[in-house]
Formats: sequence, C-alpha cells, structure tokens
Amino acid sequence: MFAILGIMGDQQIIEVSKLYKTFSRTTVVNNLSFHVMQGDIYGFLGPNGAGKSTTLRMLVSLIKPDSGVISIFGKDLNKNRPEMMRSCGILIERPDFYKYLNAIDNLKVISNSGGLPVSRKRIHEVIEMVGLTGHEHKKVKTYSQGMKQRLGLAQALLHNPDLLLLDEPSNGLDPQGIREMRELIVSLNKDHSKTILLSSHLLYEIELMANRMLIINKGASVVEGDVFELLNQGIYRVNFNVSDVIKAKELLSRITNEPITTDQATQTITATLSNHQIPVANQLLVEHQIDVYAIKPLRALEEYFLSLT
Amino acid sequence: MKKHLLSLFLFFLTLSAWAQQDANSILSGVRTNFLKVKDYTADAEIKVDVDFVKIPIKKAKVYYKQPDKFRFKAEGFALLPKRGANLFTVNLINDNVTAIYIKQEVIGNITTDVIKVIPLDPNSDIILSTLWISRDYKVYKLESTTKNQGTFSAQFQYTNHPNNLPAQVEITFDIQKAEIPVGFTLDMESLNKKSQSKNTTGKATVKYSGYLVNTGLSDAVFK
Amino acid sequence: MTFILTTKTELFKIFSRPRTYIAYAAILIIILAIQFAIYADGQKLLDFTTQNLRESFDFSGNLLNGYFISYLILNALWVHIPLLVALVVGDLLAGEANMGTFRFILTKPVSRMTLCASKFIAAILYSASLIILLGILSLVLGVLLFGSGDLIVLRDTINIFSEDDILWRCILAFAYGLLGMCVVAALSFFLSALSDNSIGPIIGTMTIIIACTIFSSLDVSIFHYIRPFLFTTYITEWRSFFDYQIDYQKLTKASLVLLAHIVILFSFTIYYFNKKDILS
Repeated sequence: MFAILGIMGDQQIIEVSKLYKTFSRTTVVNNLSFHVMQGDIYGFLGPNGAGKSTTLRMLVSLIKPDSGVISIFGKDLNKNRPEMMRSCGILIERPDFYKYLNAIDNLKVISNSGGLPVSRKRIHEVIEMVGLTGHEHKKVKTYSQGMKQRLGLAQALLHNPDLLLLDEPSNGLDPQGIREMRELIVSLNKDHSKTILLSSHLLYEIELMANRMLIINKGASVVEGDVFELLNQGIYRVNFNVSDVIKAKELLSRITNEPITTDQATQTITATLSNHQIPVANQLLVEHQIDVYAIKPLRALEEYFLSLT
Repeated sequence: MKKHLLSLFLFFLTLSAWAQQDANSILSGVRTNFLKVKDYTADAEIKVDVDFVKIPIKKAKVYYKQPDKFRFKAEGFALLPKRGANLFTVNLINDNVTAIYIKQEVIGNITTDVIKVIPLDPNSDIILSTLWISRDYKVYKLESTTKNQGTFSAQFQYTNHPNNLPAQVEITFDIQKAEIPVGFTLDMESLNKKSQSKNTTGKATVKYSGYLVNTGLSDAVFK
Repeated sequence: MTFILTTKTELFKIFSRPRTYIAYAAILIIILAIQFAIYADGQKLLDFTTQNLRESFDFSGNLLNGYFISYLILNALWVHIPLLVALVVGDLLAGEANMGTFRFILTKPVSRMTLCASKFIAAILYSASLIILLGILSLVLGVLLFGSGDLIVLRDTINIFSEDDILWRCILAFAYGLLGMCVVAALSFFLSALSDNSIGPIIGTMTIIIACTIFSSLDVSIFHYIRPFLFTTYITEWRSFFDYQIDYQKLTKASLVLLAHIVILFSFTIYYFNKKDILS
C-alpha cells in the first residue's frame, strides 16, 4: 500500500515480450509478456514451480531464452548485457556465499569478480543498510539463513543500482526479519527511487509492498495489473459459520445466482457476494433465526491464487 | 681354452729356458724402475667411453704409495678403471710370476720386447698378461685375461718423465651392460626399449700431468 | 583493467581456501617423506644400479646428493601433482556452481569469457606455484640434507652430469613440467565447466590421465595410432632434459602438442560455459 506513494514514472524499465523457455521438452516459461515501469515495486507472483525463478534468471542472463525479447532500460539485453547489469542489483533465490570468507571479503570478492569494484566505505554502508553491522568480520559459514538473506540484499545494493530484481527476498527470515526486509524494500523504492521487481509465492507479501503485479502459473501469465484494483474489485468469496447450513443455503440462494458450497462438518457455507451484499446476507440469516458465528470474506483473486498453490 | 693356453706356456717354459731368463731380466728392469718411485701424486684427466654411461671428462688427483696403495679424488663424481689405469698396482711385476719371452715388436717407432706373464698365485684375478716393454724398461702396452671380467688392455704414452711415469693411458675393457631396475625411473619409454647386447667394450683415457714423486705421502691420504 | 582485477580476485579466492594449502602441505610432506626414505635406502638403490660399473671402475665422489634425490622426487611425483592441480582447478567453475555464487557473479557486468579467462590464468598461476614449490623444496631441502654434487640419472644410459651442468636442465625441465601441468589444469577446468560439483572434475581428470597413461605406455598396436595425440605421451618428456644430447626438435614438437591441448580444451570450455544455463 505504501508503494503507491513511491515515485512512479512513465518510462518502461523492463519489457518482456513473448518469452519461451523449455527444459528437456517441458515448457517452463510459455509466451510470457509483461512490463515494469520506472518507480514500480512490481510483484511477480506465482506458486512454487510456476516459472518465476526461470523468468528472473532469463532477465539477468543466467539462462538464455529459447525465444522472446527482454529489454531493460529500453535496450535489448542480449546486446547490452554488461551495461545493463551495471544498473541492476540482483538477488536470485537463496543467497549462497563463499563460506570460508567473512561478509566484507564476500562482498569484495563478488563485486571484483563481477567486474564492478566498490570502495570499502560502500561495503560498510550496505552492511549497515541491511543491519549486519557487528557481524561483518564473521565467516559466512556461521551465518543464519536470515543473515545470508540480508547479505544477499547487501550484495545487490553494492553498486547502487537503479533497478533491483529480488527473488523471494524474505525466504528463511523470521517474522521480525520479514518485517524489516519489507520496510527496507519499501524504503529503497520510496526514499532511494529504486525500481524493484519482486518475486514471491505469498500474495499478502506482494500486496503489502507492490503497486503492480503479475500472477503466473505454469509459465504463463494469468493476470497483470494494479495490485489494489485487482484485489479489491468488490467481489468476495464469503464463508459463513452458521447453526443451520441447509437453511442458510436456501436463504442465500435468494440473493445470489453464483454457486454456493456447504460443508456440514465445519458448519460452513461459502457464497460469492459483492461488497454490499454481505450485510444483507447477514441480516437475512439472523432474521430467520440462524445463528451466525463468523463471517470471513475472502477476496476473489486471493481465493483463486490460493487454489493454485 | 685357458687351460690350453696354460699348457702352451708350460711348453714354452721348458723349450726356451734362455728366453725365460731374458724375460725375467726385462721384468726385473721394469721392477727396478718402479722401486725408485716410493710415492707420487699427479693430476689426472679421465675420459670414460662406455656406450651406456655418459659422463663428462673429469679432473682428479691420484695418489700412489708403495707397494700397492692407490687412491683418486675428484671434485665431483668420477670413474676410474680399476685395472690398467695404474701399472704399479697391476700385480705383475713382482717375483711371483713366470715370464716368457715371445718376440720383438715395434709399437709406433719404438722397439719392444713382448713378454707373457703368468701369475703363480692361485688367487690372482689375472690369469695371463702380455707386456710390451721397451729397451729402457717402459711398459708400452699391456693385455690381460682375467678370471671374471674378460680381457682388458692398456696402452701407455710417455713424455720423458725421469721416473718413466706415463703421460697417458688408454684402457680398453669388457663390461656388462647395467640393468636399470624397474620402478627406479618410472620411465615407461626406456623400459619398453629392449637392451640388445649385455656385454660391451668400454674405453677410458687417463691423462696424467704434474707428477710429484717421493714427497713422503702419509698413509692418511689413502684412508 | 577488469581482467587484472578479476584475475587477482580469483587468486584471492584460491588462496583463501583451506583446500589450496592441503596441496602445499601434501607436497611438503611427500618431499620430506621421500627424502627420509632415500636417506635410509638410497645408497642401496644406487649400489644396485651401479653394480656393473663398480666391477670395472673405482668410484670417487658422492652420488647420493640433493640433486639425485630431487630427480627421484620429480619422478615419483608426476602422478601426484596432477591430482593436486585437479583438486583446486576442478573446483574453479564447478565449485561456484555448487555454492551458487555464480548467481551473484554472472549477474554483474563481467562477461563469462573474461571470468573464464581470469579463472584459467589463476589456475595456471596456482599450478606454477605448485611446481615452483616442488622444485625449490626438493632442491633446497635435498641439497641441505644430502649436500650437492654430480647428478646421476638413469635413462637409456647412465648419465652423469657435473654440478655446474644441472641447474639449467632443472629449470628447463620444470618449465616443461609446468606446461604439462597446464594441460592437466585445462582438462580439469573443462570438466569443471561441465559439472555442478567439484568431485566430478577431480575424479574425471584423474581417470582420463590414468587411462591415457595406460594407452600411451601399453605396447599394443592399436594404441600406436592414437599415442601421438595423447598428452600423456608427452607429459613426462621433461626427463629428456636429462639426456646427454637433448633432442630439441622432439621437445619442441612435444611442447606444441601440449600447447595445442591447452588451446583446444580452453576453447571448448569458453564455448560451453558461454552457452551454459546457470540453474544452480
């Protein structure tokens, strides 16, 4: 939600068109197209195995697409890779480091090996930024997964890139860590004007950070658009916890033509209702002496996404 | 064969007593010359020419002291033929031999008497030797047959040293080809090559110079 | 500029790993062990080999010296050094794939070709350090423990070299030996590009070396045709520098064959690595 406040431009930072990738006859990415605008926190959402990582790897040239065009900052990635990588900070999947080196040496080695050396001062800056100050001289093999995740982000931030591509950045973090990571990402977007492409398999995480999103499943695009608009179209799947399921179903069928499901065991009835139909439904049930113990509205897209995972 | 040779010389022995007399006196002339040299030191330059050994020309110092002490020392590593390099240690010129006069022969432009010498000591490694001795009792050539090591020969050259010490000795000898143990070189290539003949002839040339005679060498030198 | 930086970084990585020092320690231990073994048994070995010579010659001087022992060590170690090279070089690409650090490095501006070349240069410098360490340790320790002197070498003939005739032969032999180890490094590096774990390239390198050594040395007619193309046929040619008459023509040809192996293997590595999808 905060992300909407971020600086948004009208320049396309990433443009992906008709991307295909097949691994030994299995199509992993299938005709995928999307674009990320300047200032976006762009949520890249999909269940595990949907092709998110493969797509991100193609965006950063770890994997070569079978076909399709990837443009970053308006230029073809294939022809301008080094220049583009200079403006990209990348964290793909679980970050792994040289376990026998400490955090500082790891960052130094990664930046030097990558042909993008940075000053020692900058290394300390990013270590502070991701909250690892005090641990920078410890060998990485002593780090927890959460600390590695932070160091991974530090690595992506080293050369102060304009675009960040982050693959599941809160993986392996504890709830406190997840919150801090979230705040950091949002602040990078808001305070440091970075465009961020963020992949996740958790809708609520995307909802909390991203302004636009793409849901993919089985390598293909399902829906793309503004996060708020997509999630809040005013249609809900509503669970009612009631004393009489059969009678409730009969009553609710009077106000909606959408299919209604019941579950006797949990005394639950589920109906698709619009925003203003929920209090009407509640009133109708109560008027007919049905006890309503709980009403749980689920947004339709959320419900759909859950069905994928 | 060797037995036959021996009987041949015993035959000579009985037939030509005068020649034996003559041979003995020639030998004793050589011996008298030798006895004048109580000890000596010399610089030697050794060239070894054996087909399975490659070694550069080596400089060494040689030491001799009567009756049979001999030693050589080189700066690095050096080889010196055991037989023939030093005539003094060849056990031929003592009393315990039978000598037979054979003939006269000219070597180069020097007239020599050819004498066959048979050591009487049954433990002697040398069975039979032939010596070419000049009128001034210098040995110019030596050929020996040994019990175990085949034959060897030595040719001596002299440059007017007062004690008749040689300036150069050229030695020819029989030698068995060395077997290089497997696993020592780990050199498959060499192992694959079959060694052709096991016995071969070797040659060595020793040039002597800077003789120092009768300086009273201490026995310690030879330890 | 980038190339120097990336190469320096690769060297830093190599020399930050405990594994690298295992190789150095192994060399030190093996050299010391061989030296003490020879100290105990070397004279017997020499006596046995020179047995025939002793019947015809008197010997003067010490053949059981530092140079002789260095030569023996080199003979004994040419099987082990490839393993130590493979141990580190086989890990250069595969190790990064295995650790997942390619995800960091290859998403930076550096080209895969530059990274590959840097790693290979670092591999060669590391191999050179092994050879130099081997040379210096075996010579220095050998001479300190056993003294110097003339060198006896058993080739087709028994070759004896004067002390002042040894060092240049050693230096050329070590330089040639390094060229051989560069082939091992190039092979290991190529296998490393194919693999995502470092055990594969190490075992692969050793298997290929052992197999090719057998092909090179077995006296079977079908191997005669492939023998000239196998690097193992040439890798032990450093010994030729201890021939009395060095066959420079043969050694030049051998060096060119080894060089060709390096170029071809490295080209394959670049080609394959450039195409490779990083999935780790």
